[in-house]
Amino acid sequence: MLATFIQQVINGLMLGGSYALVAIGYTLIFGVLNLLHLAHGEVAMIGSYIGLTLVLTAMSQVGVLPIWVVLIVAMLGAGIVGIIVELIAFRPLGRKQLHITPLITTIAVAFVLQEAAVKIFGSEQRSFPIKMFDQLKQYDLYLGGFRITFVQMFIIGASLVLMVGLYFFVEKTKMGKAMRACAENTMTARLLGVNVHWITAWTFGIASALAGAAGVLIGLAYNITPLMGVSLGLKGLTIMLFGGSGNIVGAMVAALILGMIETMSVAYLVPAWKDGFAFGILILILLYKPSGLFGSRLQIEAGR
Amino acid sequence: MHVVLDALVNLVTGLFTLGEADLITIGINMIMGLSMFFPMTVGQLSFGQAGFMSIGAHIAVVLTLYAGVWFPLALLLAGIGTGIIGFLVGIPVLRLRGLLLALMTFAFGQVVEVFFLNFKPTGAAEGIKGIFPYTDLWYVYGFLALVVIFLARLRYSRMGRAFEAVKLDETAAEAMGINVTRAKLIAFATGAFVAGVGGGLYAHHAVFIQYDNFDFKRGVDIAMYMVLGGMDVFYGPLLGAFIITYLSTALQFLADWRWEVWGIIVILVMIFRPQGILGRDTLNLRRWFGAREATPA
Repeated sequence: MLATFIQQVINGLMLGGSYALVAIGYTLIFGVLNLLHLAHGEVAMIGSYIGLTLVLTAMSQVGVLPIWVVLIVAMLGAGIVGIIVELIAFRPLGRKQLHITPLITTIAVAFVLQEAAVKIFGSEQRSFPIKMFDQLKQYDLYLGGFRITFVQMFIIGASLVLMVGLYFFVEKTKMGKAMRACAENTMTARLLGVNVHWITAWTFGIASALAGAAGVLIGLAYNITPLMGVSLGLKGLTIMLFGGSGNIVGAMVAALILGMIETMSVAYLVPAWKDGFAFGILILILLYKPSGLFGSRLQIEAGR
Repeated sequence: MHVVLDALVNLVTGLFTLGEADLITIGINMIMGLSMFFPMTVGQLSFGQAGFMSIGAHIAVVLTLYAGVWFPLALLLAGIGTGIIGFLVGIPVLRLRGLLLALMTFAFGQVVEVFFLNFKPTGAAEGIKGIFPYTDLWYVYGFLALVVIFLARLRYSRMGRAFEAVKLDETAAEAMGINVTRAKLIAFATGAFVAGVGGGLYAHHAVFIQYDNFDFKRGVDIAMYMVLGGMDVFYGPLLGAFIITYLSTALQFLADWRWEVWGIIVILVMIFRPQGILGRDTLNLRRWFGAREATPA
């Protein structure tokens, strides 16, 4: 009983950590650009396929790759995809856009990415090869008859490291400062000499790299399908609102809460209603606390 | 070059060989596009129309299949039932605006989907089979004509002007004595009514409905009809629904690359006409041939 409970807590942490990476990307893009990037989940999906392809090719050519190399390459790949998305679906819109224009173009991108993934990788469920995990078994932790696998530790650890890294990047570096300036007021930032186009591209790149990491981590724990981006994106969105839009720490905490709720509801309540819980939470937040649990840095209620 | 020409010829000749089923699908999609246009008349973007469509479809099917209600009456009741739900949902939801409202209505659509996935009386995940194929061209285009006449007359009515005022500036509208909440609720509930009837028509055309007939993708499709066609005038969603429905069948010859081409078209339209293909200025020749005036967004 206790063992299953602890197992569920670990699953919740794993899920929450991966969700947090997606949600932080959402928050970054939403904060800096005031834009809902609805293809964000799809970018994560592409990231996990990049990781999978890399592992499979490396396995046939040289052997099993270290897990962190896979993660970094997938992040780079997803980051590049993210910047391309920005160049295609956001940059050309210019400043005269309505607030839903980028919504529509990013949805179009999401569909294109999904179809591309089906075309290139096939529509069936895939997962990382078992051979890759065999090697890592030796690092598993045994705590009094209870096992924590290396992959589980890696997922939790990697998401923590990335989150902390991002936090310091945004708060302490010059580019992070420029991003926060853009989030505050794009026009003023421009007047003060911030290259807004450059910052925009970087924001997309970093957010997408995090999404790519999340894609790989989720792929390690569960499966990879071309449609995984849809639910991943929706969860990220929910978490972003839950934690307070534009609030990075809020997104991290909210992600852990949602990950826990989801695993617990699968384990102890009705599994079929799993997604219903996430959306129920989303609705309740929007109704009673649109600024999120930990306060929003931005005014997003202001209509068109 | 030859391929492209052939494709264009196919696209044009295809227009004259549309079968009854195609026309019904196009008509239902037009109705759904208009159902989304109603909230837009007060400036609210609702992504939940697929959810309302689902509710309407299920009500209508239960009425005709299990209670043996006369089809037009079942449609009306489905519309009214959905409208009431739309009204009730609208009361809390319409306090939000802009992107948050879009998200909220979208979440509503998802909840409806999960509800019907788990709702035993309507077959849960299996859906309902063996629905009578009552829907024909007359029902679809008759209802569509009613909605169009309603919208055309609404535009210059007292109510329509109030809607327009709310859309342009809520604060100013409120200051002029318009009851903003009431205007929004009416528009939202009417949209739900239209979506409910549309759902009933759809169910009796498709003969088989399941929770995921009304999923995320359907919601996005409906949004696309309006956004691509034009969201300022009611004939915008009509054109959008036609183009999208027709292209998705006509682009079959591109088979493998359908979605990619489709995505590019959407992005291009959004870059050059962010308000959609048709707008208030479409018939304004000065805009096409003269200097570009600054049009308010």
